[in-house]
Amino acid sequence: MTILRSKHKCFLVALLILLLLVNSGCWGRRETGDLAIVGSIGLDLIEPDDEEVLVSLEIVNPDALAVGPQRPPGGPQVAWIIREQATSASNAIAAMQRRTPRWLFLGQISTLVVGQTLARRGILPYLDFFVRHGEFRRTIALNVCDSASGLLQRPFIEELPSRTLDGLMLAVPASGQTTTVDLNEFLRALSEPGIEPIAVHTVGRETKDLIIKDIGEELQQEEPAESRDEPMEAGEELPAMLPPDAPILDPIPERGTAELMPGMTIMVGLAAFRDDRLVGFLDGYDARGYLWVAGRMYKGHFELSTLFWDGGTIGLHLVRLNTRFSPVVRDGELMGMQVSVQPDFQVVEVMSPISLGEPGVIDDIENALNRAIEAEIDRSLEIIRHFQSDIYGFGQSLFRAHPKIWEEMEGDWNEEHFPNLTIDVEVRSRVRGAETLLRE
Amino acid sequence: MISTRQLGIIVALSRVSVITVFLPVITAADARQDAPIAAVVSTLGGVLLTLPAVALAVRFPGTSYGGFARRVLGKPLGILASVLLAGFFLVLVVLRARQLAFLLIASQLELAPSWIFAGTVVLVGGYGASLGGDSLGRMAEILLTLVVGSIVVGLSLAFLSVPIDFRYLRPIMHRGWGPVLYASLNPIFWFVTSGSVVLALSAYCPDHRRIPRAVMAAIVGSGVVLVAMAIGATIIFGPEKAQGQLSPALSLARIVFVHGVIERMDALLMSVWVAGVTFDAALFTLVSVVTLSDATRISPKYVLIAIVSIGFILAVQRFVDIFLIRRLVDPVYTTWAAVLVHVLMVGGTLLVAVITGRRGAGNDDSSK
Repeated sequence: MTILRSKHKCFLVALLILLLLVNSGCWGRRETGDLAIVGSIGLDLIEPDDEEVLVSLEIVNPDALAVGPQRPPGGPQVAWIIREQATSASNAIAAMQRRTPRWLFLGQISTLVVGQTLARRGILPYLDFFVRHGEFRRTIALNVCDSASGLLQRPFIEELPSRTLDGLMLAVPASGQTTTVDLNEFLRALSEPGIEPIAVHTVGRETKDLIIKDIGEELQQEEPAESRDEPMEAGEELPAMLPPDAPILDPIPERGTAELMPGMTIMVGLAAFRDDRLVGFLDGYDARGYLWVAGRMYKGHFELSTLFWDGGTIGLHLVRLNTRFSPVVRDGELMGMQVSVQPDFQVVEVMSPISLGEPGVIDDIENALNRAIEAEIDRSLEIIRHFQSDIYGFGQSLFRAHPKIWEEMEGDWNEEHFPNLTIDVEVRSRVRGAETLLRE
Repeated sequence: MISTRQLGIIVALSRVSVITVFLPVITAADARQDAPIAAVVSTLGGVLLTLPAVALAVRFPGTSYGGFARRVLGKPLGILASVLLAGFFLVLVVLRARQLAFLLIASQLELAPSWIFAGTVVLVGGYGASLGGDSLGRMAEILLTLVVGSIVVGLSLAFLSVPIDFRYLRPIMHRGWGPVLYASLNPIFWFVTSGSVVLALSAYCPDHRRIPRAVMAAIVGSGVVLVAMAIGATIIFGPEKAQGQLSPALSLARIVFVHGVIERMDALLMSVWVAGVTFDAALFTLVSVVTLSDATRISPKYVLIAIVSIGFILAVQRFVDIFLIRRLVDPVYTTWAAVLVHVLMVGGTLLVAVITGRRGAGNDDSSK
C-alpha cells in the first residue's frame, strides 16, 4: 500500500538529484594530499610561571615512509617538529597552521607527551581540547617526561618518533616496570571518587647502545652522542656530543663502524598525579611495587637472589597476576585494607648450584619471592603515601563496598586517611616450570 | 501488509537508533553507575505504558488511531485527538532531523549548513513514508541487522581496546531509587513513543492478535541493547565521565580502531545512525499521515505533502533547536509529553473504548 503510487518514481528521481547536489561529500572536504598528518603532540611550559604553553607537533611526511619504488630518492625528512607558544593548545595549533601549507590533521595522533613542568602545574585545562575536539581518539597514550618537545625527537628502529612511542607503549609493559595509560583511563581516574590518575614516565637518556654504520672495518666511535643525566629544558636541541669527561667507548672484537646512540626514549616507570597535578615519579622497582598491588602487571622479569642458599640468582618470568584488595570495616569504621597478591612465575634462568628438583627448594623460592615482593610493595607504598595521592584506588574500593563510610572520609582521604591507612599485604607466589629439558 | 515480526522489528529499530546514540539513561540524569538499572526500569516502564496503545491496536484492527478515535471519542474530539497525535509525531520528525544535523556538524562536518541535513532527512523520510508500511517493514529488517551488528562489533572492539572494569557498576543504588527513576523517565518516553507507532501500523498488520507479543518483544529486545550500551559506556568511561558527554556511543566508537581495517569506527556508527534516523523520520511521517488521513478522510497523498512541507519548513529553521532539542532530552519535558500523549490521550481513548464497549470491525465482538 503506497501513498504516492502513480508519481513516486518522478518524486524519487527528483529527490535523488537533490541529494546528489547537496550531499555529495563536498561540505568541509579535505583531500588526503592536502593534510599534514600529526603523529604525536607535546605540551610544555618553558618556565613554571609561564602563562603560555609550548605545543610541539610531529608532522609526518608519508612520502618519505613509502617503501619500494614509490619511495623518493635522496631520503627526505620523515617528520618535522613544529612548535608554537600560546595561551592554549588550540590557539597554538591555529598559529602553527599559519606556516603549514596543509591542513593540520589531528586524527592520527597516538601519543600525548606532557612536560614535567606543565604536569606539576596541572593538565586538566589542556586536556579539555583533546576530549572536545572531534578528531582526537580517546586511546591517545599519555606520557610525562622532562621535556615533551625533546622527547618527540628520538626515533629508534621505527623511523618516526611517534611510531617509536607507539611501539614502546605496546612492548614496554613486558618489562614489568611500567604500564600503559591512555587518555580515557586518565580522565576516568580523574573523575571517579577514591582514585588518582597515573601516566607513563618517559625520559630521554643516553645509553651505551650503538648504531652500526658499516660492517667490515675496525670498530670505532665516529660521532659520540650526548651524555645526559639531568632533565632537559623544554625546546632544547639534542647535540650529538659527549661531554669531555664522558667514558670512551671501548673497542669490541667486531669489525665495523659505529656511533653511540643519541638520547633515547626510555619508559622508566610511572608518574603519579593528585587530581590533575603531577606529584612524583615511581621508577623501576618502585613502579613495580605499585603494579603488584594495582594488578596491572601482565608480564615481567623478576630476579631472586639466592645468596641465602648457595649464591647466585634465579630468573623468573611472571606468568599471571591476581590481585584483590578490599576494605576491612568493623562496627562501621574503616580498620584498614586487605591486599592479596597472587603471582604465578615460571623459572627461566638458574645461576646457582641449587637443584630445583630437591624437596623443599620450590617452597623456599616461593617464600623468598613472597618476602621480596612484599618488600617492593612496602617501599612503593611508603613513597606513594608520601605523595598523598591514592593512585591504587583504595578509596574507590571503599566507596564501592561501603559508600556511606566513604562519604564521611572523602573530604580528607588523600591528606589524612590514605597516608595513615593500615594495609595488610599478603603475597602468595607460585612457581612452576622448574623442570627443564636438560638434566640439572 | 506487514507481518507482526516486521512490526516488532520496526519498533525495535526505532528505539535502538535513538536511545543508543544519545543514551539519555546516562546523559539526561544523574544515575551514574546505576544507569544500567535505570535502563532496565525504563524498559519495564516502556512495556507498561505501551500497553494502552497495543490494546487499542488489537481492539481496532485494520485501522489507525485516526479511524477509531472518531468512533470512540466522537467526530470532533476524535479528529482533535488525531491531529494532536499526528502533530506529536511530526514534532518528533523535526526533532530527529535537527538532532542529526546538530550531531553531524558537531562531530564530523563542521562546515556544512545544518538545514541541508535536516531538510534532507525530512524529504527522504517523506519519500519513505510514501512507500507505505510494507516497504518500511522490509527496510527495517535490513537496517536492524546493520544497527545491531555495528553495536555488537563496536562494543566488542571497544572492550578489547581499553582496560575495562566491571567494578565501575558499584556501589549499586547507594543513593536510593530517586536517581534511577529520574534517569529512566526519558528512555520510557522513547520506548512508549516507539511502541505507539502500532496505533498507525496496525492498519498494515493483518494478524492483529500477535501484535502485543511482537511489540513487547521489540521493546524488551531494544531494552537489552540499551542495557548493554549503558554498561559499556559506564565501565569504559567511568560513571561520571560517561554522564558528561553529548553522545557516549560516539565516544565509544572513537576508541575503536583497527589499523588498516577500521580507522574511524565513529564515522561508521554515524553512517548507520543516519540511516536509523532517516528511517525514524519515515516511520513517524507515515504514522502522522495515516492517523491524520483516517481521521479527516482526506487523501493520504495530500496529507503527506502537507506534513512533509510543514516538517521541512520547521526542520530547516535553526531556532527550532531552542524549543526542541534540549527540551526533548530533558526528563521533565519528556515526562509531561509522555503523560499527555500516551497516558491521557491514548490511555483515555482506551478507557472510553472499554467503558463504551466499542470494538473494531475485524474483532470477534464487532457486532456489539
